[in-house]
Amino acid sequence: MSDSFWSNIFRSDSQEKGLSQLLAQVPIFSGLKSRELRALERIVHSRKYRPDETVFQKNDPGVGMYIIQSGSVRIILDAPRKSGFGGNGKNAAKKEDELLLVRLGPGDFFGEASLPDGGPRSATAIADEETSLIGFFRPDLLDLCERDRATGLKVLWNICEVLAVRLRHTNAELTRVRDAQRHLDAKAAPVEASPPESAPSQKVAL
Amino acid sequence: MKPDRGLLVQAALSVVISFALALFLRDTAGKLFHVLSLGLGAIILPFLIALVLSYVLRPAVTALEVKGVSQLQAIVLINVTMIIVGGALMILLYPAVTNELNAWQRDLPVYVRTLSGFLDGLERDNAALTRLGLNKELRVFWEHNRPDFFLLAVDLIRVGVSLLIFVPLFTLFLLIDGSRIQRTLIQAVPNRYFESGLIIFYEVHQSLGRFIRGRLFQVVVLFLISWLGFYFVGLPHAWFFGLAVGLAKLVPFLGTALAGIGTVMFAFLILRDWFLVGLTFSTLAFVELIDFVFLVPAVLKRRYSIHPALGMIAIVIGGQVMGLLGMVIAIPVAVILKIIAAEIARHFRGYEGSRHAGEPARV
Repeated sequence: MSDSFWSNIFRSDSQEKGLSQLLAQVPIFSGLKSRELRALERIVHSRKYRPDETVFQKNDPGVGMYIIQSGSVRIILDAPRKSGFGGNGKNAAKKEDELLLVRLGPGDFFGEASLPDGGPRSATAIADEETSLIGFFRPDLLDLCERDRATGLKVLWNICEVLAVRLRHTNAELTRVRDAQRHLDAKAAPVEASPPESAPSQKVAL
Repeated sequence: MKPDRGLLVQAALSVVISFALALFLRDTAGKLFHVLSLGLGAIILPFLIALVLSYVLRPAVTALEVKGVSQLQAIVLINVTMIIVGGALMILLYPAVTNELNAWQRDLPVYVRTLSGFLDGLERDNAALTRLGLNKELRVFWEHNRPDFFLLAVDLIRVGVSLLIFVPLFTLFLLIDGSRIQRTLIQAVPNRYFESGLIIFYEVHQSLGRFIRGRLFQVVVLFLISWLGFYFVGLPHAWFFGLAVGLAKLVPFLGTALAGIGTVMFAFLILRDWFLVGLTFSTLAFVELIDFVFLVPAVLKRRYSIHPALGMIAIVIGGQVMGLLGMVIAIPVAVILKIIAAEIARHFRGYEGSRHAGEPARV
């Protein structure tokens, strides 16, 4: 099952494209005119990462989102935190210790939840290979909203839509998990209620 | 009350960084600055003024952009307006400035004689003061440093013309390419520190802008109030002392005290009327009241200010390293160091310790 929060549920066909085209296919920038996309090109930051280099770590203060231009990024949980300022760097954690949530490729984006509030990262992002990322950060969004309010409003509206869709997906998954839990509880209840005296080892542990 | 560990870490980091920087600056940057000021004096002053102006004019550029004017058009329009206004001000102020310089040329020897006579009277009555020899030192100093206001006027014209040429050029460059320069600097930050670096750049840029605009507004308002006050009191050279009181705010605490004491002493020596001296003192007290009650809370937000004790330390260090300029830039530098220390502390203690539940996010 893919992770509703981190996987790109908005994915469309994506190949190597120009920056403007790459931005246009990201839902957060959908509906922007070519002039607005060109202005956006001047705002975003292009970053390159080596294989296994950490983009950000879980619980780091979030600054913004990334779009994968080329390469791939794995989103994981439970990676041991490297000591040091910023928390980013070559990740020394063993891959087998990681709980992989999703692997993202070109055209995918992640980290947008920290754009509105700068909240903590809920997972760790690590480059899988040589990876080019396009970063769009909270200061850039604030600057855009200040200088070009129409474009800023469109982007903010799109962020709301993306977060709403993610929330709905997460809610649906949570409901599914609860149903499954309830189903398991119901199955386990008769066993717990009358444990056969002759066979104590059959008790179900959840 | 339990002390805020984060705040303590931040304060400790600020002090450590400040002292380390001061030790480094004392030996190297002081000499470097001296060489730079000799060789590039003609460039540094216009560049610093342009840097300040770029922060002052940025909101106007943004306001025009919001109205639909392109960034380049807005910058050119504002720069042309600035040249016209600056030129017009120079032409309009030229007679007033030359009159003032003439008045100083005429009056300053009289003021020095008056001060010398006053000291002479004091020394006659007090043997301890005679041993100090203040009057003699004043006369020697005056003989060796008697200013030539004609040469000063020529210098002012030369500097003014150079500023009129270079300042608009540098301002244009900083307004057009400022964000590109900033982005290039951010691009150079390694991935490991990138997000933290981005926040630091953004916070420093924002706080410097607010600080510079706030300080300039404060200086202009205090200048106008004190000028008017001194004018009505009948203090000679009212605008000069008004300007001194306004500019003194650039060096908080020390500058304010020196400008205040200087003005009251001048009023005492020249006006020789306790009532008028009292009015001069009242004007200064009123100016401080306006500053404390209205200006400081309005223009200098708490987040962009530092504790008075730290401010004093910063001014002393700045004065030791770079003299008067060091004292002027001490507070902005201390604010920048505070932001950097806060960001480092935030990362060291992690996200959880940096915010309380329900508190709005920083950036």
